[in-house]
Amino acid sequence: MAESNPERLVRLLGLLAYLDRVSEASLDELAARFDVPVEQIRADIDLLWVSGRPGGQHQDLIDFDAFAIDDGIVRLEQGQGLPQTFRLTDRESIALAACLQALRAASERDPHAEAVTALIDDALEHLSDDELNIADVVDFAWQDSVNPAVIETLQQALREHRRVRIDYIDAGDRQLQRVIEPLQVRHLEGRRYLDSWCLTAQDLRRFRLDRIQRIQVLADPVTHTVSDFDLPDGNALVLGSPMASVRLRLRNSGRVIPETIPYTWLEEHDDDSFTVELQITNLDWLRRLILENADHIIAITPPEVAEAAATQATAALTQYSL
Amino acid sequence: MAARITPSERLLSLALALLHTTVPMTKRDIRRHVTGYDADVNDNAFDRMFERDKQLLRELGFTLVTIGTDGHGEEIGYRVEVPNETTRLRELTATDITVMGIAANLWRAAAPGRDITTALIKLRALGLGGDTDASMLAAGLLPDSVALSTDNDPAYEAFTEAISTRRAVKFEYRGRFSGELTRRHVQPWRIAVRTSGWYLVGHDVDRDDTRLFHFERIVKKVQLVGPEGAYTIPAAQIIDEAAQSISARTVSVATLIAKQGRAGELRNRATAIAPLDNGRDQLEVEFTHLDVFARQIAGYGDALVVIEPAELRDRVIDLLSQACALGDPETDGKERHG
Repeated sequence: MAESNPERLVRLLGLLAYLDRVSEASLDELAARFDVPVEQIRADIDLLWVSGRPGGQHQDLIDFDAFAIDDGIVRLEQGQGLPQTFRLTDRESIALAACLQALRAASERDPHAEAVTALIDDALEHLSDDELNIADVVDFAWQDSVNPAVIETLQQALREHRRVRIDYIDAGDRQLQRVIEPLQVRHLEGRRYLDSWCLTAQDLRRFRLDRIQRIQVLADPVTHTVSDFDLPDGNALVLGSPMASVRLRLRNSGRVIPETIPYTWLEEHDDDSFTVELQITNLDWLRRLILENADHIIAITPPEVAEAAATQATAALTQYSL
Repeated sequence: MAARITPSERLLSLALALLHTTVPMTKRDIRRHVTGYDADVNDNAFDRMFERDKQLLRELGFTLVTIGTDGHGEEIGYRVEVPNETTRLRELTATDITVMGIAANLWRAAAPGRDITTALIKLRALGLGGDTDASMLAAGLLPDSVALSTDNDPAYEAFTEAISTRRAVKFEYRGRFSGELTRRHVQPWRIAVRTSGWYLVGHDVDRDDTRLFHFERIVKKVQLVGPEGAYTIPAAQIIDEAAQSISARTVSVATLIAKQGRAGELRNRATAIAPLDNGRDQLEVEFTHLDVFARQIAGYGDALVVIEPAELRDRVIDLLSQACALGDPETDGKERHG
């Protein structure tokens, strides 16, 4: 497999820095530490070994203990000053700080969050220097209204590998009861979801944590784990098969729709409007989307969808004129 | 000639040569003495190769300094400086490294850019172990997976690069309401992540004012322009103020009436629920953004009625009226306001 150059170089420099600190390590340990096969570590050491400054004399080269390596032990004899240059770049520090900030925002409402938050704040402070307040480059603030008790119960189930029963409100405002095997909790753009194996559907399902009303750990052990599935990253997990495709012609004020909802097609028009095509898996969800965004919508195809939404809206309005 | 010199080998040789040289090396010196450049490449190919390598050295964290030896472009000399203190490693404790390792591992798959991948390799080199994460997860302190996607990784990379070097950026931006494309010239200050998406907070040079830019509305490649150190990032409070409009505001309380068994999500977050005589329930629900909350209520159709505040009630009625008009083919929608 072709590996991108920068990653390998960082590992090469990392190997030198690590060996400089610990004086020696086995090939196996290095492979585990840097998460690559032993053969790769061997190739890395071989490459480092022939590297040196111009001149190419023995004293100019990076050097390892040749006897130790026969026993699978890597001992650095001469690092040629490279370990002393090892540092985190500003951008790497920013990326780490962003992860810390995200974790802080994500765990804020959890029980026992205080202990974690304090550790995060220490690390953030230590990452910053006089020139750039690293901690402040990426800033997270999410609105999340998950009940901490739901989190706690879920974490227990995940820890004990047991099934749970949930009372759930779906996107169409229906109350469901499901027995599921929790696989993992995901944060997507500030919302928390539970990816799970649903015993009712006999398929993967993703549940929004803030829509779980009640949760109960069952005695039954799980039969599926997260490693059984190739779950995609991000919000690409589309569950259920599409029932219909709908086209919405939208004003520019409705850009938020293609920005937040996956679409299959988008066309810009000359009059500053545009059309998106969505694949619909749930008609209740679609009706809701239309009512929530009525001011952005110019037209809907097929027209029956618009009529159904209008009927709903009329029924709702009647209650205000009582 | 033995085996072909790989780019990695060449780069290591270059780093070592520039680190140990007593006088800055010119391009000619480098081409003549550093392993990997001595192959029979022409001048242009060498220049391209060297430019790339220089950039990569900087990205790897080497402090590459250039010294003009006599003012002629050709005679610029290069050297790698040893940082007098290994910046940002000095202060980090073993606990810091563990916490950063956990955070980085949670985010690695979805965090934007490749910075996090190389940062994680560096943390491992600094002694980060593999099993600490597991024990903390087992303690139930942390979520199992945190995913984050910007949908505009190149913009993220350009902005973090700009912020870390204080360079300005230019990009094409689609206006929030007008939809019009304009070319923007911005000094980036901060990236703000909200439930509604990713934003750049910065100083708009042409408008001479602070502005927020939603990542999704940046339509073309972000270019870095002008010199490094071109501006100073203001104090955190000033940026906080600039980001006020996308940060949570004061919490208001709404009184709603819900049909039995409906609007479950709002029941979930209600601060009070009281049953009424007609079989319905009265809910008290807190909200921060009136428009966002009005849309959510409208989405429930006839399952919910707003009692107060009046502003919220009016906004919901407005949305519902516009939805009614959608069913009427006589209206082409142009007359309605947004």
